[in-house]
Amino acid sequence: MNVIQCRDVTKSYGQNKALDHLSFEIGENKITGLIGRNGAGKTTLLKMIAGYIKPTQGELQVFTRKPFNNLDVSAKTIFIDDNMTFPDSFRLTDILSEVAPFYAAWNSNLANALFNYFSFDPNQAHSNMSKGSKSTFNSIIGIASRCPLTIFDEPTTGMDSAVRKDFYKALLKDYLEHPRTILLSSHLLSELEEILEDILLIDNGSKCLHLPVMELRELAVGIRGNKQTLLTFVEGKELIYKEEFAKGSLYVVIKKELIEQEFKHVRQNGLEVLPISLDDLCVYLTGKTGGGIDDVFKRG
Amino acid sequence: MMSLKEVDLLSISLKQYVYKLKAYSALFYVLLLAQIIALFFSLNGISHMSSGNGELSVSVNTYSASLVIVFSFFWILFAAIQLTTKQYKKIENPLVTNSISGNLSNIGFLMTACVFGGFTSSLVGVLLRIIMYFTFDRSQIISDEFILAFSDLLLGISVTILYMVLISGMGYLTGVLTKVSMAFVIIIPAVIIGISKAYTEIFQSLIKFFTLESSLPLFALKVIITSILIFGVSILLSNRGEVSQ
Repeated sequence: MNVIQCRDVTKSYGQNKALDHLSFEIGENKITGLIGRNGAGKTTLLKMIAGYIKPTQGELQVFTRKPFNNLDVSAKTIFIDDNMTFPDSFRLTDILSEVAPFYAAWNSNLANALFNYFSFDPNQAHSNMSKGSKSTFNSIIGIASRCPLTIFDEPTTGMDSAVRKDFYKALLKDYLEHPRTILLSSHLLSELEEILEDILLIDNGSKCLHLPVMELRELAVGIRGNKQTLLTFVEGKELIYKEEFAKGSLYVVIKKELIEQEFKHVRQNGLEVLPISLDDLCVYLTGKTGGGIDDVFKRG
Repeated sequence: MMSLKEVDLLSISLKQYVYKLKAYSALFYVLLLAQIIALFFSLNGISHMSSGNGELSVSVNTYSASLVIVFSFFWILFAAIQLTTKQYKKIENPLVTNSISGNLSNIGFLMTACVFGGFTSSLVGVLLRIIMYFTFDRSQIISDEFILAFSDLLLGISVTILYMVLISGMGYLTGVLTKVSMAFVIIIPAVIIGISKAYTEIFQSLIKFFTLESSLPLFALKVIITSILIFGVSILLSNRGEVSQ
């Protein structure tokens, strides 16, 4: 059964389409990473799933219901981002105890243990916290609520790398003990890919791909070598990315399936086959033009 | 885990109500502060009159705690409008909520605030009398109502609460309307002033409808029905808007 079902969903703000005919499904108890460039529509999509905003067109169902303004969906969903607001009259420990009654599966022990581990000051006010501490604190709420659908929008904003690693570990550990559907959006795919099962890559409000991480890792390879040799070799094949990094040398990213039979041939010609990181691949897949930022400087 | 265990609107609203009572506790301190300030103003008398013919001079100071009640009315109006603002709405986001539960818990909070305001402002009236009793020359106090009968005190509390309920409803609706469109910030005062000028009689009778009712049960009924209508419209209007962050 699908937890999230998104059919042809469009969200427009005036002329601007934040989401454009987006369709996908997310199954129960999966950790999915929502990846995309700035302004790709990640936050809009997550807020829509959380029921904060409604689609302009198309059908979105969460737990088989429309999430907007729906109490049942709200009870099973939690949306964590760095805009969460808590009353100024609450201290940090008050927040944990006051939010708890709303979520049926809330685990106070876990919340307190994480709270102590990250050594927060119980008497601090939420609004006075630094960006990183705020993100960490909000993430504790996300983990401890154990909501059947837990959504993190850029959860690691401002966290230092030690805290980020701890957060991912904590999330993964608790997920393994208490499986639930988790949606994470992030820029830092390289850190995230260890815990993700699926990746949903969106670009300009449309779906680019939705694949298990394992498959995505096998999707493409990079080839580097002499420009002429390489060009004749890849001629007529669709390239994901192409970059001339030095005179006469070329680097291309190409789908593995297109050159599967010719791997031997590649090596004989003195071309180098390189694995490509998911992070880079996603950037290339959503790139606007080949060449990247270097092109800007070449013209000068 | 996938079973759709229905969540009860009332129990969620109740939880939000408790959350908000704790969250907005500062508003109650603001009221107490406002009432104390009003009390100090009242100690000087709200009006002063003196006359004389050379041989005899009479000076009359009028004392009343009505300023305290006026302050409380402004406070509840302010509180009701505040609750509809973006800043306050954002507090609901981390909780289990929908528009109706958010509104119900707001209304619950406002009703509590009205009861609190009604009691405290009437009791401050008693406090004013006590202070006057001990600090003034008692022979110079002329009033039939100086010794407040308990039944009168109760009547005062009830009427204050009912007025506050009415005012909170109007404030809340105003807040909701301005969220629908900022144009209402201009339209509402314009309409009120317009009606009061152009349709003076209707406006007068509308005010009389609430201010000249001598029977408490009837007055209560009028206020309750009007408030239910006002809050009902507010809930309907705010049920469509998207949550903005």
